[in-house]
Amino acid sequence: MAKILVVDDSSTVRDEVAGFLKNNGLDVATAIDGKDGLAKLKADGGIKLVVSDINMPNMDGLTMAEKIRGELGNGSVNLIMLTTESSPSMKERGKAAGVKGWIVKPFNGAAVLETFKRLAQ
Amino acid sequence: MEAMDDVDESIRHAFCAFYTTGEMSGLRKAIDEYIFSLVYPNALVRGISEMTEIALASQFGAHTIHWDTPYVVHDRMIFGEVFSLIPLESSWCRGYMMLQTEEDAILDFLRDDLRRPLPGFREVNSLLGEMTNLIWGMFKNRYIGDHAPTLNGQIQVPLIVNHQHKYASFGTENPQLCFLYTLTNERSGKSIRLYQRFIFNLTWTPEEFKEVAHDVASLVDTGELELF
Repeated sequence: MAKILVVDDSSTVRDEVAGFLKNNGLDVATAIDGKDGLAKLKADGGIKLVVSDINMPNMDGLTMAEKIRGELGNGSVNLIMLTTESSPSMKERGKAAGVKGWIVKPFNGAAVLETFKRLAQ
Repeated sequence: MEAMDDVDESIRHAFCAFYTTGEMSGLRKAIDEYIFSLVYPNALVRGISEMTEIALASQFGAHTIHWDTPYVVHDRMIFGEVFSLIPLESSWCRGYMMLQTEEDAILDFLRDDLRRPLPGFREVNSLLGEMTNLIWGMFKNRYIGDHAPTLNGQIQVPLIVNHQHKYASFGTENPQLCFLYTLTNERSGKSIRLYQRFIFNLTWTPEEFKEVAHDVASLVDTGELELF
């Protein structure tokens, strides 16, 4: 089964999002910041969708997205940002890094579950 | 100082001003100086309550949320055992938002959540951090947008926290804008008190305040996936 990687420095958000996805039959891994997320993505070829926060210590989510595209050249992984940020400049930077979608927190699992399932295939 | 002459010298330091009933202008001057020295735009005060309610509802769905009329405070006291701080930086304000609450009340809430079987102080910290993050994000999206701080954005002052006296100083005598939210679990009757303070200690130019997003409904429509 394809796997979803949830990247967030908040354990509250990681537990909420990962728990919801697992309860709906999805295979989920978690990472605590962009650096950890990048390492886990490199180590696990089964990850097909990354759902990431932006404001995180060590490495932010947009930098992680840029490295995924730049360093890994990995076009087969879909990237979704789950963040409190909604400024146009942030979204433009995300688009340029190949981010596929944007969700403004708080997380509403029911609103995105089917799309997540599709993007994780 | 003639009106203070009758006050014992040992306690005079406790008073910042005085007035007599025959000359009330002294009272007006003291109130303006010590309480209303900062003016807060109505749209800001109203918006903070609205956004905070949305953020709290996302984390405490089963609780009833009530908030009191906002007020300004001059004290530096810390409520409860745990607080969060996050900087607010814009062209019209620089300072902090602080959330203060009691650990046991949050732990009681977490113990009722079956997803968290053995909650501890780290879970309390994480939950408070996420509430702070959500409110900060909405504040930025509504009131700051892409506007960068002014050139004086590099100015900082030390923050002092004295645990013994539960006292936090931001290096200024400016008053703080304060909100109290009470979250009540109607089933158990237990409640959580959350104090929210805004401390604009570095820059405060409310005449430059403006809303980026005027419609609070746009803030409610969170959680939707915007595909590029």
